[in-house]
Amino acid sequence: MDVLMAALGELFSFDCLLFMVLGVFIGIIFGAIPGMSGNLGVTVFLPFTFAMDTVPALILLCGIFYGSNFGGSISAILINTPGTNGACATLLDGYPMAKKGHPLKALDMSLVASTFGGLVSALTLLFFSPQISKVALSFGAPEYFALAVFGLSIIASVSGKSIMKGLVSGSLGMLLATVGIDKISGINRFTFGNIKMYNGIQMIAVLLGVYAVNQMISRVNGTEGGGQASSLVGTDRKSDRLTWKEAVSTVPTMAKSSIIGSVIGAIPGAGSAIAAYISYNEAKRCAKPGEKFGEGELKGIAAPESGNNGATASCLIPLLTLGIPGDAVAATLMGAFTMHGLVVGPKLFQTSGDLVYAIMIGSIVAQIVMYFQGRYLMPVFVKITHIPQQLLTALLMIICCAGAFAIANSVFEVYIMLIFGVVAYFMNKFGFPPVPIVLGMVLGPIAESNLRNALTLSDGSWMIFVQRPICLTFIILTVVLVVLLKRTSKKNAL
Amino acid sequence: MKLHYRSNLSAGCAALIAAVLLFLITPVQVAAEASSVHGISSRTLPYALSVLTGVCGVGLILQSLVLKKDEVKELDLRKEAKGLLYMLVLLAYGLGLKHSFLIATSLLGVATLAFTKCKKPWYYVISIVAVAVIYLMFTQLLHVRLP
Repeated sequence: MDVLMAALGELFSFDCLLFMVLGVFIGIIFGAIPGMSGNLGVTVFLPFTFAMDTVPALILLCGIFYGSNFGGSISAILINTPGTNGACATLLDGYPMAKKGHPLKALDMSLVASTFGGLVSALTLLFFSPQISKVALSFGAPEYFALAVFGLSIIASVSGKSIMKGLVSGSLGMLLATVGIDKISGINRFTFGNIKMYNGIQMIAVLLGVYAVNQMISRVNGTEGGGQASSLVGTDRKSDRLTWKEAVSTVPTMAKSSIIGSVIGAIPGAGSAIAAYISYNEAKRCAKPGEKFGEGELKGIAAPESGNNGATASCLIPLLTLGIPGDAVAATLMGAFTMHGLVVGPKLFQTSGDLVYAIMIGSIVAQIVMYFQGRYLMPVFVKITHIPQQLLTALLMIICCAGAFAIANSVFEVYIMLIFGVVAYFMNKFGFPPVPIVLGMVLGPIAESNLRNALTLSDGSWMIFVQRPICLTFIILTVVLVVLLKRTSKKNAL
Repeated sequence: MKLHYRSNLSAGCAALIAAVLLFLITPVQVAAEASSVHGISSRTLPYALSVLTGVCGVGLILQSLVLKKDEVKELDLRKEAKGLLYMLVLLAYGLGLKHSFLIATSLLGVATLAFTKCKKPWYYVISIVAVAVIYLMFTQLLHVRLP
C-alpha cells in the first residue's frame, strides 16, 4: 500500500502530468506522419530526458509510444497511408468510411477504440503482469511458428476478390523479408552485392511506397483521386460524429480485440500489427448480416484499433517483469529505463516498486489524456481533408520522402519507397491486393526462423507442432478460420 | 488510345514469369549451406515462394481460360504515359537526392504540382516552403542529417 501511495504521489505531480500531456501530443503527431513511428519519437526525445527526473522522463516517453499508436490511424483514415505498422488494418475500413464523407466519425471510432484498447492493456499491465509473462514465456519456437501461420491465414480475408492474387502478394511480402543476412545460417539472401541490403529492407519504407507513392502516381495520372477530396470536404460536422449508440454497439468488438491485443502484445516479438490484423479478422468472422467489412464498417475500425492499442502497454509486461523487450519501442524504452538507473527484470518491483507502479498507473492516465487530446484536436486533424487535392498530393510526396529518409538516415530507404511505389502501381493494375504484402513482411520471418528452430528442437519431427497445447490450439484455430472464411466468402458471392 | 486486357490472365502470366525468375535467381543470390536444418535451408523459403507464386499464376490462367472467370479492364495509354513520365521524375529525384535534399525535394514538389496541372502559384510557393520547413525541422530539431 505504501508503494502504491508513493507511486501516486510521484505520478500526480505537475511535472509528470505536463510531460504526459506533451508526450501523448508528440506521439500523436509522430504517429500521424507517415514514416515517423513511435519508436522514432521515443528515440528522438530520449536525449532530452537525461536531465529530467526518472518518472516524468519515462512517462513522457511512454506517452509518445501510446500517442503514436492512435496517431497512426489518422493518416490511415484520412489519406489511406498508415502512419505506423499497427495502423495497416485500420485503413481497410477507415479510408472507405472517410471517402463516404464520414472522416470525423471514422476518427472518433478510432479514438474511442484506441482508448478502450489502451485502457485494457494498461490495466492488464497493472494487474496481470506476472501471470501473462508466465504464459508468454511458455512460447517457444513451435508456438511462434503456429502464431505466424495463424496470422498468415488472414491473407484469405484481406485478398478481396481473388485469394490467389492475395497469395502472390503475400509471397512477395515474405520474399522481401528474406532480403539480408539470414539470422539462422548467416548467409546473405538477395542482397545483389549491395552492402545496404545486408540489414534487410525496412518495412515502413515498403509501406510508404505501397500505400503512399502508389497512390500519388495514380493521382498524378488521373486514374484515382479526383472525387475523393470533394467527398471529404463536403462533410457535415454535426452529423459526422460518432453517436453514443454506435459506440455502444462496438463495445463487444472492442473488448474482444483489446484482450487479443493485450495477450499478443505480451508475447515478445509479436507486435501491434499482428494484433490489429488478428482482431480485424476476428471481427470480420463474427460479422452480422448487413455489416460490410472493407466498405467503411465501424467495427472494421474498432477492432484493429483496439487490437493495436491493446498491444501497447502490455508489450511492457515482458520488459518490466522479465527484462525482455517485446518489440523495437520496448527495446528503446529498455535503454531509457537503464539510462535512468532502473534495471528491468524480476527484481525491478522490489528495488523500484514505487517508480514502476507510477509508470503503470501513468499508462492508464495517459490513455485518458489521449482521449481528451484526440477529442478536442480532431477537427484540426480533419482539416487535412480540406487541403486541395493537388497541394495535398505534393505535400504528401514531400513528407513521405523526408519520412523515408528519416527511417535510417539513408537515401537507400527513399529508393526502396520509390521502387515499391512503382511496383505496387503495376500490381494494382493486375488486381493484386497490397495488404498481404504487409502481412507477409511481418509474419514471414517469424514463421521461417521459428519453423527452423522448432525442427532443430524436435530433431526433425513435425509432430512437435501437434504435441504442444498452445501450438495445437493455434493450428486448429487456423483451420477453423480458413474454413469459416471460405464459407463466408461463398455466402457473400451468392 | 485504350488497351483492353483480362485481369486474371495477365496477373497469372505476370505471377508465372515472377515465379520462374525467382526460381532461377535463388541459387545465384542465396549461397548453398554446408548443412541444412532437417532439409530446411536458407533457400527453402524462396523456392517455396516461387512454387506458390507459380501455382497461383497457373491457377489464375486456368481461371481465365478454362473457367472463364475473368474481368476485362481498360488501360488509357495517354494517362499511363503520364504515369510513366512521373516515374521518370521519381528516378531523377532519386539521383538528385544524393546531392541535395532541399533542391531535389523542392523540384519534386513543383513537378508533382505541374503533373496535376495546378495553375495556382501559391501552391508552388507553399510546397517549396514546406520542404524548407521540413528540412529545418529535421536538421535542427530532430538532428537528422539530410544530404
